Amino acid sequence: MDIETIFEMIERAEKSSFNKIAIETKDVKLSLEKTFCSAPAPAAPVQAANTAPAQQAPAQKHEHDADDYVFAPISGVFYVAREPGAEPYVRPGSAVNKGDVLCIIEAMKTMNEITAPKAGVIESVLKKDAEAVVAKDALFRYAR
Amino acid sequence: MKTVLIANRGEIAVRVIRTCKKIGLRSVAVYSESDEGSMHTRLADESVCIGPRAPEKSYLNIDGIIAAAKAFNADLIHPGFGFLSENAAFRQACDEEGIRFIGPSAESMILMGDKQRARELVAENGFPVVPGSDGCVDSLEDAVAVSKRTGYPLMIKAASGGGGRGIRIVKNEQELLNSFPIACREAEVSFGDRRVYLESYLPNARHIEVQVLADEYGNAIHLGTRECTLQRKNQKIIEEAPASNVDPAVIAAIQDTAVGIVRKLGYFNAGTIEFLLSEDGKFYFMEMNTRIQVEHPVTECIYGVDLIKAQIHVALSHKLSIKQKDIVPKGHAIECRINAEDPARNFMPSPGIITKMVLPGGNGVRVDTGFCEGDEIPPYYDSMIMKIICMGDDRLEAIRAAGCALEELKIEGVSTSAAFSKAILKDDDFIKGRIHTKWIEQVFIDRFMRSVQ
Repeated sequence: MDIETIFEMIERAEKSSFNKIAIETKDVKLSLEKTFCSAPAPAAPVQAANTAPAQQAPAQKHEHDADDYVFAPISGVFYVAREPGAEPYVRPGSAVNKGDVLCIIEAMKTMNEITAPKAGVIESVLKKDAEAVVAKDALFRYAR
Repeated sequence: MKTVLIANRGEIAVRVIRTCKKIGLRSVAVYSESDEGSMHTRLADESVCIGPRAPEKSYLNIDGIIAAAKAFNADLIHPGFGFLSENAAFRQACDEEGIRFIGPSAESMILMGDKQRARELVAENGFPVVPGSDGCVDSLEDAVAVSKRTGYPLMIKAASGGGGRGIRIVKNEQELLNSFPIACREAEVSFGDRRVYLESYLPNARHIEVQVLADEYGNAIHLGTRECTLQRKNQKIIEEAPASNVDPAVIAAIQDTAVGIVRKLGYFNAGTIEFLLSEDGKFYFMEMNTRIQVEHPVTECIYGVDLIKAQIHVALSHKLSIKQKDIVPKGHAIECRINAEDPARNFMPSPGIITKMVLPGGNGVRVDTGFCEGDEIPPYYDSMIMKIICMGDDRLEAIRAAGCALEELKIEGVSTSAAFSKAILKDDDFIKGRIHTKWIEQVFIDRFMRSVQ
């Protein structure tokens, strides 16, 4: 497998609907995995369930800073609603008050309600329902 | 050489694999995609992936597990605890494939799995049950009628609940009127069965359980009591064997009752019968668990038996090799469950990578875990990292030994409940035995929070 082939595969994988592709041949083991979150994980430790660490803004979204994001306090499975089929807690455009429940992260058999760190309008939901998230992943972005 | 497939993960899978190795059986581990390379897969002779991370697609996937068992020519399946361990359909699927399920009959599992039916059967046979409704309660009017007889507080319990799930406590008629319809709906959503029954809530009661062991030939013995009173949200935190500060006559009666129930049921394999011990020294049947339990090591420590080995022997249709008169407990054992959660932040789960782990050891210290340094504790399963079991000649020694062990334990990378357990071990109420099933929630958590602030 030459380097061009690998680049070609990365390009195609990016456009495909697969999140993860693993290929193993006699002498090559290649594993490609997409990350959906565009905001880089902040380096500062997460202090509480819903405090976004004051860190520099993600480079490609220079109009936003870390304050505008809600980060996952723990790893787990992200749910937009209380139960399957129920109304999502928030949608893009929803106005929220500080402390409003935004989503649930299921971790270790417990349903953890993630609440809004501040009042504002949710601009986008950065994770899909039932998607696995890692601690410090950006989950929501507030509108400026 | 016979082959055992272990239909579980983590600590209990490791526990079963170790016994298989010890008694010369080949072991096959199963794992989900997120558990690839975890300790139980490393220790087993063979391992096989059975599906994605979600439990219902892997550790609860009966077809997948049976297919794996057939592919590896497994003669037996050990279900561990949780997951499929009390699932009668899984047992029946094993039977159909000629694989021996290491556990009781499907009939016993179904009967004891219906907590209300079990209660009724036990009462019919003259054993004490917590006062409450006769059978299930279908309507609010019936519920109110029961309350006139029993008084308050009352518990509304889901018939298909168990293990501390599906319980609501009501303190007066107004609360009963409010909670009864909700409890029925919750039971339906959680267990697919809306039936509920009522039981008096006994304040300041203790949770005492009896380990039982029986074979297919009607031989049944008990391996004494365990005290599992220390619970938070009905999940046990610290367990001991034997139960102490109880009138020996009451202990003997509880043990006899447990064996009596086992005989009446024709139950075989290992099981646990749970009782409530009220303040006035009366005991009542609560429920039976038809599997090996998390806290089984405290019993193993004081009786010097290997309960997993005993389970495998019974599943192979052997007769019990131990007799009641031959077994005598020695000393006292305490188990501390160490969970990946942060007690100071309302016990928030703390999955992640264990960057550092230093384990306690020495005479009378046993550590059962499914993780080592560098391993990840995934967020998809329960939060238990390990159990530390310590022995002493008496209770006080065991408490001190457990305190030392927790002092030696170092875990970094994830938050753990170790400091919480350590604080319990030093608490005067705990040391003097002034505890009840709500003690952690009503008394100790505040005390702990004040100490960490």
